[in-house]
Amino acid sequence: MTAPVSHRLAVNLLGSVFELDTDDAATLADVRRLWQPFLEAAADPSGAAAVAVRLDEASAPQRLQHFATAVNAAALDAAPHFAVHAGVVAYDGVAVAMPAVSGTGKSTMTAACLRRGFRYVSDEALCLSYDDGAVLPYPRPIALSPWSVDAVGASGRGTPVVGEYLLTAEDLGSARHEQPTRLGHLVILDRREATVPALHPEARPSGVTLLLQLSFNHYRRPEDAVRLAADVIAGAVVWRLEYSDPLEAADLLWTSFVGERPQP
Amino acid sequence: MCITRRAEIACHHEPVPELVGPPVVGLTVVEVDGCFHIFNPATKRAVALNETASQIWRLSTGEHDVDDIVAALAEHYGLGHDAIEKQVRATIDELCAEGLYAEAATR
Repeated sequence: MTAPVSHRLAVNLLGSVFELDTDDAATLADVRRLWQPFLEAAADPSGAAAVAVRLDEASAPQRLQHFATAVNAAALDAAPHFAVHAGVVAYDGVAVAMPAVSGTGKSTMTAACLRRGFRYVSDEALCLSYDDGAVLPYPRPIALSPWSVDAVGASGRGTPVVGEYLLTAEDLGSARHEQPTRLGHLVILDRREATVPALHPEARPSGVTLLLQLSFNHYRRPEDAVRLAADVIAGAVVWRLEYSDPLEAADLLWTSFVGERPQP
Repeated sequence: MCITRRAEIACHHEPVPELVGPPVVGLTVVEVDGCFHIFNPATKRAVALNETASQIWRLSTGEHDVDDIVAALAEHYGLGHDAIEKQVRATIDELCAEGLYAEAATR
């Protein structure tokens, strides 16, 4: 006698629980791999009401794309933290945030940083605790265009969705940073044509403005968001990164923030 | 300009000073490296002030008039009164338009 196959799969993203409903075992397997940090054990439910996400799309890439888009937007909007559109990596317990709107290269830079030794925090959101300003991990699958996959030397890796690939930190040879940390650096991305990467100090107030401008959910607790943005930036250094090649730029960030790499 | 309130009118006909401020009650004001970010719950808008605007805001207590503020900034930057008066008045107007001054809200 065989046990019935369960198609229940729940993920908990920033306190929001989503229950996947699909008849396709392959899609379930992909979600299980890509959203592994967020899986809710069926025997240990969070108690939060789950939002059902039914995936009826014709192809596996479409189903995955739907799932990725739906749960990300809903989770960030409802997050109990101050969430800012940003790529975030970490080293030695220090977080480096790269706030930017979609399509400006933050996921590519995040992936490049992972290829160069940083740990993964998020390619989508800088999540700051309202309690103590800690940076909280939100390691959703990293979404890269085919160009970006090639640019960070990860061709052939990842799971295809519509027009892009979803990758884990492990796919990029890195690992997740799983503990809350503090924001040490805020890097404003300034992508240019054919430029040798350079890192310039920026006035910190511009970092406060950027965090507020790019926040997903500051409107829920606006007074707290303004105070938190100022507090966090007061303890960080704000930079502007001029770059063309993401891997060269990631090298510069590593040597600037962490130190010279040991010679082989 | 809309942001000033008139001082108590004395019994003479000299020009009445235009006092700037004070801030409306209930603002969330934070300062990083000398620059203010202000959230106004009435408009639900956050305003970022640069260094010069922050100096103007710091003097917007309701105790200084526009000339006082222009003089303070002229001294700070080593510029003439006329060189910065227009900018100061424009900045005060912007702060007023954001509803950050108490008197502005009643006009």
